Amino acid sequence: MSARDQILARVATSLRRGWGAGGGHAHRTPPRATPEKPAALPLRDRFTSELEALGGRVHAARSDAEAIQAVTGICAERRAPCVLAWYEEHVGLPGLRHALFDRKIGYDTGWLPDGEPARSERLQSLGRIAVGVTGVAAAIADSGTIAVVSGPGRPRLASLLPPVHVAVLREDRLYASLPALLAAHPGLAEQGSNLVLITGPSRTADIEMTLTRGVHGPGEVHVVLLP
Amino acid sequence: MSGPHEDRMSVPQPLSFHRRAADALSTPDLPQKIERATARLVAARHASFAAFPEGEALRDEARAIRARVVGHLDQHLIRFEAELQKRGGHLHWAATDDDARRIVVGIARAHEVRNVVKGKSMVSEEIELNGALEAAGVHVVETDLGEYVAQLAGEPPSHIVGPIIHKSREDVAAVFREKLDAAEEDVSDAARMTALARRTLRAEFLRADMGISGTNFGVAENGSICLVTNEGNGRLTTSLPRVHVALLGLERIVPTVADLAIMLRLLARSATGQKLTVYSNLLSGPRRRHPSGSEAASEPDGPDEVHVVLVDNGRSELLGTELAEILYCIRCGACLNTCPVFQNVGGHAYGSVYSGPVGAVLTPALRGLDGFADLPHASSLCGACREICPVRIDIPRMLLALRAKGARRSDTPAWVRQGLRMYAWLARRPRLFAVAARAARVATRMGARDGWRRSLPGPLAGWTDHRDFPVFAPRSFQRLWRERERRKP
Amino acid sequence: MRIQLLATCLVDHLFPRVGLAAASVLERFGVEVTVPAGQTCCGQPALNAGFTDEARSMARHTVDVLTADDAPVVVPSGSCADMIVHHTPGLLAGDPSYASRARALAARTHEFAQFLVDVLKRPDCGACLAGSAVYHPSCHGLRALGVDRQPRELLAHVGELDLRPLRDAETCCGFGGLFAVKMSGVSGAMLERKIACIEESGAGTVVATDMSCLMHIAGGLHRRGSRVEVRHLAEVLAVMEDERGSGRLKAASTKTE
Repeated sequence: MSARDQILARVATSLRRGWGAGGGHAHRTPPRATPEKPAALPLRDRFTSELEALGGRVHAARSDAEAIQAVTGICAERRAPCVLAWYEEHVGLPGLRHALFDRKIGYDTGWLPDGEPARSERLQSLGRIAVGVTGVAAAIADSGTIAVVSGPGRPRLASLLPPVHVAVLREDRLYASLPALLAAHPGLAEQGSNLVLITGPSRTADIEMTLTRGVHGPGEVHVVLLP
Repeated sequence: MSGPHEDRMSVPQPLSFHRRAADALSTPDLPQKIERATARLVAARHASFAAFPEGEALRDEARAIRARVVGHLDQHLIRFEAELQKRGGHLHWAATDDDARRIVVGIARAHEVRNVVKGKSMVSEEIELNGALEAAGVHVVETDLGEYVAQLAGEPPSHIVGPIIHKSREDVAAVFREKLDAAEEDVSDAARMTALARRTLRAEFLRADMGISGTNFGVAENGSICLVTNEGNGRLTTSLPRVHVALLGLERIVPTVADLAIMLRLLARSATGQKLTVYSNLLSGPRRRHPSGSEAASEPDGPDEVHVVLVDNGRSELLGTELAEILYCIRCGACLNTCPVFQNVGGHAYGSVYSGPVGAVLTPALRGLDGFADLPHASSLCGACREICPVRIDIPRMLLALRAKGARRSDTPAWVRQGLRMYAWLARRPRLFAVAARAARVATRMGARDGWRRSLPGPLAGWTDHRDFPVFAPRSFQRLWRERERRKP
Repeated sequence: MRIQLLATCLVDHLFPRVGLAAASVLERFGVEVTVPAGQTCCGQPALNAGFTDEARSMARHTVDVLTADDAPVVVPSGSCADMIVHHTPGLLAGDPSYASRARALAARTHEFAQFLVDVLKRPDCGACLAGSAVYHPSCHGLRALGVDRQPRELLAHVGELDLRPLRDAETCCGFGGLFAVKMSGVSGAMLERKIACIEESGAGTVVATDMSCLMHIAGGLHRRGSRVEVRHLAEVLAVMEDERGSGRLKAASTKTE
């Protein structure tokens, strides 16, 4: 009998015993205070306040040109010679690549080759890039969350490896809550091998409960918000 | 960073919770360190739920989801397997911890793995995986900051969510100084120590051949696994190396992505008071390549192989029993944070990977009562755990069930057993009960001052080690009442 | 209205004043208080130690004692009330001659504060006690029975009483039955924290609904030579006139009312 058959057989046998799911009825202590409903704000304002409370930055842009300027500005501030980015059509900012090129900033779309030492060397060089640029599949206002999905031309590492992550979000992809997002995009998880909900910069409080940002993932998250 | 690996779990443990707790209570500053962490986490949890009107209803829904899965686990496992395989992942079934270790080492060998990075995984601690990998010549690095420090220090983690709450900043600096040869300026504060760890571990991430992670939830409807972290080590572990191995406890399945969303919202709020963990990472199989190999049509990165190792290790035995409810647990750690026993002694006192209220049930449930018979008694049954649990698990009920099991096995000390039998015998005989009470009064008055005794004999001395014991009343309430009634006209 | 008072073993043999106080408060509202003969112990200590057979036999005895009469039962203890309301029916579910009686008994058993406020609808007992106090919510009453609002309402109506907030009020005091002896180190540590919070409040009295907690807290306070008094809620509510400095909870009190 394979391990699979053994385990499944044991599960089936066990479940036939009296207790089924094993729970008694839950002994309820009624909550002592009635939870308050958070104030209703327009989605973009809610998103902005949630993300900024976590240490992220939201750059409101009225046009593609302003958005491109925000991105190039961040790169210039960090003197980044190159970005690790999604294909421009997935970032959703036509002309971005060209604008970066004009400022002598390279645009690496993160393809990982197979075989060693090519793969390892490539990873080392990707690891030196200071700014990652991505689009956003959808976002959540009540927690300041952006959802990114991997796919062709959409490397996972762009929102992960560099210390700075810039994400371009259009307001029509902004939803009030996670359930609302999933209801609107039921197939989101199917679009790629990796769906990540990113809620602010990387952080830890492991050392004496002291909050530190920028542990393994990006310490800076910038969302460029377009109408 | 390399050095001889120490199998943390083989560090000899004193035999009982009682003794380990006594050690913890007499360790200078330990209770304060633990309280600093737990008090903050509990306060954050409560603040978070106070601003979350749908919270109570969501807890009910989440409990129902877990109950449904646990009650029909085989169906969900079969679906999970099929969907994972459809998307190019491999599923391995491990009946025991030994099987699980063999499987993971086997995968490492097959891929000639030399360096492994690990994301947080309680199951990997449970099956004592690191030692097996090191013995096979594989270098393993923990990447969660707290787990990394614990690994360097040669200690097991002491809390599900905060592995080093038992260490102060200075303790961590000492570890970095000793094991990483860190310069003074690099350990001068938490931010710098974190930066040092980030640099050191980034190098490890970039050279790792295999990433091993735990799994917060497997999703049956699309064979995906979800791993949440605040640091991002979970993402790096599962996206950088060519091979990803995920350990998944048999019961950690939810049916759909929508169900997952409910669990994630409750998990973050219960664990740390956050609305969502920084990275909720859902992985469905390996890097997707177009058959043509075209770059434009293939994912640019991600692991080439994904292996999920389903670990039973005693879980299937719990199904259908009065202990099955402990399998609902989503490992948020809230019960640890709110438990006054845990707050005073910390996680190491439980002598097992799973500590706190959940551990007091889960460890004897999975491992049997041998060696863990006192864990179910390490509780005053206050119920704070049940009150805070996001899926409303009735831990006190199961602690009582385990105590009953232990009593039948004669784990109870003789004086308790005989004393209670005698007490129960007397309680059915009210006149004799009253006689025994009068005898007890005489006994308590001996050596009493001011209505109190400063010491009690024999096994009862535990009481008077910490407080005085009152003398019995000269006349019982029932006797006083009878006299009162007789005096009535 | 007639009720049956279940004193509980601790009150019966260590703190009879509490039983007398509870009866006097109930009689103030015209309730006829009866004390069924033969009551000993509800069985909770045996249940908590894992001795379910012994717990069951004690539960049967308790059911016998309390079902000779069908009047409601009032218990000045959250943990004992919980035993009868939540655990006894389950323990006796498999015994045909006790199962339905246990369920019926559970339905008419009330913790003392719960009975005064929710059944008698008398949150104001006309009590008066000068001084400051903190209220410690005993865990079984609080979480198993949902008793919290009621004692606080009753205390809020006690004239001249300065009721202060207690930090970490809902954290267990560390009694836990045999836990206090078997895990005495941890129990002692929990007690120290509770006492520290009590002392921090500056209150002169700590009030609770369970003598188990209070016996443990009083023992700790006495060990430290503390001046803080320990009172069961019933004792506070029984005091009609201004009473100052009535002295510490004396287990071996010779006073009767």
